Parts: sequence; C-alpha cells; structure tokens
Amino acid sequence: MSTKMKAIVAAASAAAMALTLGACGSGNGNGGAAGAKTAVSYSDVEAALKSDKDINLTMWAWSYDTMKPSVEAFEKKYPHIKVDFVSTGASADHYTKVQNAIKAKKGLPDIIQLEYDALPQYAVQGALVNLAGDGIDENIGKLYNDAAWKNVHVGDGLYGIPQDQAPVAAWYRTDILKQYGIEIPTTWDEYEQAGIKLHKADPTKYLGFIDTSGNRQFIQMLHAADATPWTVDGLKDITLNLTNDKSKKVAEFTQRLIDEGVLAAVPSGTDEFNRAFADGKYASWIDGSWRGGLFATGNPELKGKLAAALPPSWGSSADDVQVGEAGGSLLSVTTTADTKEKQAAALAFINWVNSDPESIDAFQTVGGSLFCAAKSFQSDSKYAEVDDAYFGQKVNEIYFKAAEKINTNWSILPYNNQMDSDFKDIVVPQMKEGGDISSALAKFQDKLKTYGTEQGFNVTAK
Amino acid sequence: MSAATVSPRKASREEKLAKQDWKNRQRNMRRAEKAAQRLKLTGRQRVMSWLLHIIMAVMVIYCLVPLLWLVFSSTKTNSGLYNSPGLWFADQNVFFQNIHDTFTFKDGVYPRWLLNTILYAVAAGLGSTLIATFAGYAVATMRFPGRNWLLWITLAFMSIPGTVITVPLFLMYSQAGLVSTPWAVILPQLSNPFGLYLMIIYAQTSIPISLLEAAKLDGASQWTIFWKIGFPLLSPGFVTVLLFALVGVWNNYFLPLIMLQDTKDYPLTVGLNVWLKMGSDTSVKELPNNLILTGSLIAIVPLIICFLFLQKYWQSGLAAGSVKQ
Repeated sequence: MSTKMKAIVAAASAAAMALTLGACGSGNGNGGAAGAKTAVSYSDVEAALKSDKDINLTMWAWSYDTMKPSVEAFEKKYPHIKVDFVSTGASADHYTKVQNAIKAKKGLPDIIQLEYDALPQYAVQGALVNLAGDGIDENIGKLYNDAAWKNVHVGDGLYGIPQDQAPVAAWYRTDILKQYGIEIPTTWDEYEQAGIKLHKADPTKYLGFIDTSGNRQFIQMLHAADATPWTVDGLKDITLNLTNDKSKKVAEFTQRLIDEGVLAAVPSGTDEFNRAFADGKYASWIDGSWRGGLFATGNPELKGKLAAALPPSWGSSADDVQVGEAGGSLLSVTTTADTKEKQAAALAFINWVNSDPESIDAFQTVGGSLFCAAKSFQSDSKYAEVDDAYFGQKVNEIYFKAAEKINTNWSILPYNNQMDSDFKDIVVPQMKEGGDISSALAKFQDKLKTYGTEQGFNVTAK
Repeated sequence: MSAATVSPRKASREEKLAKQDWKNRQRNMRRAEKAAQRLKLTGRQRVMSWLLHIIMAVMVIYCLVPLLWLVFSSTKTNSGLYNSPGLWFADQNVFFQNIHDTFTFKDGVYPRWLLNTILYAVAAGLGSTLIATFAGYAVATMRFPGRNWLLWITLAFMSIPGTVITVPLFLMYSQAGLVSTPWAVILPQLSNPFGLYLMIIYAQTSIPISLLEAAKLDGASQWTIFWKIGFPLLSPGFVTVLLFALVGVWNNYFLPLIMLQDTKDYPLTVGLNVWLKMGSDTSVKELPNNLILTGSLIAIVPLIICFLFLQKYWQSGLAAGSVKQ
C-alpha cells in the first residue's frame, strides 16, 4: 500500500515537473537570469532587520519542534517581521504539499524547508528565488560549512541557506568487536578483513549492512569514494558517468563484501531489521550523523555499547578519508515572496535562524542537538566538548571532523526522486549474494539518461 | 391490604407457568437432539465439516493475530518492542505510561488528531449517508427524467478509485481557497457512490410502492412519507451505509494527506504516519515506535464501540424489515 502510494505521489510530482520544465522552455520561468538582476543585496538584508516596517512571512517546515524556539527568538528580537510558521508533518508529506502548491500556482508559502537532495529539483522548476545578490556570497557564505554552502547552489544561482548537515559517520558495537578481538576499522580494506573475521567466528553476525530501502547508503559511498557518477553544470546540462573506474570499484567492492558475508543486504527501518540490530546481528551502522541521536531513543538498551567513529576511508589510510553526506536541510525563499522587501526580510530571517549563535544555542537544547551547518556551531569548542551520555564520548568532535572531510566534488541530480525509484528498480535487486551491482549501474545510467532527456535536460553519458 | 392477599396467589401461578414452559423447552430440546442423531453425516460430509472448521479457524487467527500483536505491543517500551516476543508481554508493562505519553507527546497533538478524526468522520460519514439515503429513496420510488442516467453514472463512479481524483480535486479546491480547511476533507467525502448504490438497491427491495401510494392517498406530504414510512423501512440500510462511511472516512489517508497542510488539522491516519516517518527525517531525534502503536490501538477503539453500538440497530432493523408486507 505504502509503496503504491509513493508511486502515485512520485508519478504526480514527475508529471508536475514535466509541465513546469516545459513552461520554463517557453519563457515563463521565474528566477534564473531575470531574478539575478533584481536579487536582494547584502545591504538590503541588513536594512530589512533595521527597518520598522511590518512584514508578514509564511513558512512551511517539517522540523517544526526543532525550529520553533529559534523562530520565536527571532520574532522577539525583530518584532516587525512576523512569521506564520506551519508544521507540515514528515518530510515526505512536506514535499507532496510543496509540489501540489506549485502545481496549483497558489498557496506556496514564502519560505520552505528542503533537503539538499531535493533543492535542484525545485530550483529548475522556477519555484525558488535566486538569492545571489551583491555581497551575499562574501558576507553570508563565510558563515557556513563549505560543503553545505556549495550544496545550496544550483548552477550559478543561490537557492537557499543551509540549516543542518549530515556528514556520514559510523557507529560500532564495541561489545561485539571486543568479544571477537576486532579493532574499529579505519579503511575499507580493514573493514573487509574485520568483517570476514567476525562472520567466520559467528556466521549469524555481520560487521555491517547495505541498506536496500533506498539509494542513500550506496550513493553516499560513491560520494565518499570521490567517484563522481554525475556532474551537473548550470540548470540543464548533466553528464552521467556511472561506469567510470571509481564507481566500478565501489560497486565491485560492495558486491564482494556482500558475497563474503561482511555486509548483509537488508532494508533498514523494518521491524525485522530493528530486532536484528538490537540482537547484535549487525555490528556497525554507517549513516548520516543524525542517526547518532536516534540511537538514544530507539535503542536505549545499547547505551555504552556503541561508539561513533569516522567512516572507513577508501584510500590506504585513515588520513585520506573523504566523507559523503546523508541528508541535511536548508531554508529557501520561494517566488511567492514577490517583492524585494519581502525577499530581503525572508533572507535575513533564514540567515539569522541558521547561523546566529542565539539560534544555534536554541537548536542544541531542543530534543538533543541539531547538527547545524553554520561555522558558529562547527567551530565552537563548547559544542565539540560536550560529553554525550549515551555514547560516553565527545561525539560532536567526531561529527565535526567528518563535516570537515566532506568531499565537495559532488553534484546532486535535479531529478533525485526519479533517481531513487530507478535505483530501487534496477540496482537494489542486484544487491544480494551472487548479484552484479556493477552491470546494474550501467543499466541504471541508461535509465537516468532516458528520463533526463525526456524531462528536457541535456544529458550525456560517458 | 387486599393487594397483599392477591400477590402470593399470582406469584404461584406465574411459577407454575414458568415450570410448564421449562418442561416444554426440555422436551423440544430432546426432540431436536433425536432429530440430529437421525440426521447422521456421511463420511465425506464429516471431512468437509472438519475442513470448513479448520479454514474458519485459520481465518479467525489471521484476523486476530495483528490485533493481538497491537495490544501486546502497546504495553512495551521502545526497546521492549525489539527484545521480546511479538505475541507476548515484555518484562516491563508500561501500558498506562504509553497512553499518557501518547496523549502528551509533541505538546499533546494526539488528542487533537483524535478530535479532528471524530469531526471528519461524523460530519462526512453522517452527511454522506443522509445524502445517499435521500437519493437512494428518490431513485427507487420515484420516476423522473434522467433517472436511468443517474443510475449509470453512480455505477461508473463506483469504479473510479478515490485516489485518482484527489490531486485534480486539490487543484480545484486550491483555486476555491478551501485547501487546508476541514471543508477540504469533508466536502469530497459527502459523495459516496457505493453508499448510494446500496441505498437504491435496498430501497427498491424494502419499500413497497403500494404503501407509499396509500400514504399519498391519505394526504401525506412527500416529506412526511419519507420520514414516517420510508426512513423506518430503510433504517437497516441506513445503518449499514453509515458504518461503511464511518470506517471509510476514519481510515481515509490520501485525501487528508493531500488537502491539509498543517499538522494541527490532520486526522489520526496522517498524523500517526508523520510520527512513523519522522525516523527518516534528519533533524528529528525521536523514534516513538511504542507511541505509534499505542496511538494505533486507541485509534481503533472508537470504531469498535461504534460497531457494537450500531449493531443493535442493525439487527432490530433487519427484524423489523421481516414483517409481512
């Protein structure tokens, strides 16, 4: 039922996207080059905060509870800017609502929360305001982690302000590793050796798993391995290269790990998976840094038995580790904010919420800690030195290091939803013992090319 | 004092009658038993009887196991869910704590969802059933131009799944400014082609036209005829359609998902799913699986009560319909 529902939603959004892209071609698009000329400058943003003219903004976000204290703090500080803040539920529902409002050409709020993966899709639809005005990059760009700042760009345009980031980290069951005399691996080669040792000693156990519920884990491995499976130039030109040497190496290596019993190929998030994880079937979990916070509520019984670490390196030593990303979100200004005044106030607001120390503090006190993309968070030692009671470790220190090591040589496809569903159709079925992930990638590439071309992108495949 | 002298005599007579009645019943039962013994099953019939019993037992288990799982799960903590057998209790029973937490989680949004669901179900469920009853009665008992067309269109609409028209509906409602209001969920569900069809069929078979004609000859207005004669005859059908409609609206997921934008307006189906999907959202730090399960259990209780309560009307209605015409 739920996959069927997802298919309907995906089909609906795909259809909507086809329509809007068509509209772009005939010259009805907003933003883009035309928007850049009138874009708000940094002085407009400063003026918006100082002004006393009342401005009302509307905003949709799924992380309502996390953001609410920050929004309230802003409204208290700048009472002339009022934000009507609506909680849209979970991110999946949020996107359905955003897409439908775009399609209806009515009802989209001034500000929306998006994930980095979803941003290009909405930017090319012309639903977002290009914020790359005078002085913005110099004065605002420096406030954020470089990888995050790169992620809010599509082509030359700036389409949002980063809020949180999800550098990939690894968590290991230290009790199990100790029992079998295994050290925490720092490279994938060590990971393989450790995994073989564990699986031989106890064939019911695996060192880790490859998540077959979506693209996230595998694509983040490509990201960390610097495989550049695709590059995107501007808003329209895409080069696919899923058959290059590095991508092939990741595919073949993953296949080998599955065949050797190092990784189990399972969908995460099911009841069966949660039970197996609690039972110690999987001795490590590699995912975005936010996963760390979920363990404390999801697996309170594993307190003290899990340790966070940097993910294994694709290179020959821990020093040349590069890290992928698994999620993270930003705030964008939509074309609903149709006056320069509104855009400036909206930009001032989202920048304050995402980077002001007062707001960052609020993010850390509500329901655990949000891994903010702002440098005021990542370079502040007071956050790095917090001892995490659950892990008995200074976990932020590890996540901060991971954030520094994010591979910035990475583009996000402007049809990420479709990529995910094609990935599940073509690549996931090969993620099994005796499968062939490498040749599935070639088929996956063909599908991505066909779809992209249909949608009006200039796609070349190498 | 005279009343006191009468009553013992009366009581003894009643006692006698009761005894006689008991004897009669005993005799009847013995006769029935003998009849059953005479009606011996053949070997093949006995096998079939066993087989049917086994199939029925499997179906009962099939229906009850998920429910039992839900009941047991609602007594567990988050970690208890994954450390204990699915169909038994965990070491720690936190049923009441779970109920408390479900109602207070996220600033008590759950009771709000519960009230929303009740509002939508009552408004849309009762509304659509009333409309279906009016229309079914009219189509079944009156002759008017376009009647056959109406029947065909109703049949055609029954074959269209609601999800297909939801997004176009959203676009229409968006232009009308109704999106993100309770109307967006209630209005579309007021049309219930299945209920209408059921009511047409039911009205055709349960209302004798001659009865209506007799009432008309006596000078009753259409309105009086409907409420005094038509509706009582239709009440079993009304309750059936009402039950279907209530369950339909209560469990509807896709329409409110598309139409509503603020979590405060969500019904339970969409709301609980928000909690379920939170785990994959990067900025969320909680996986309230035990609360989702407890919330799901609480969500079906009103429906069960509704069924038990309306069942009474259903049965008495069926009996009322069985009198000779």
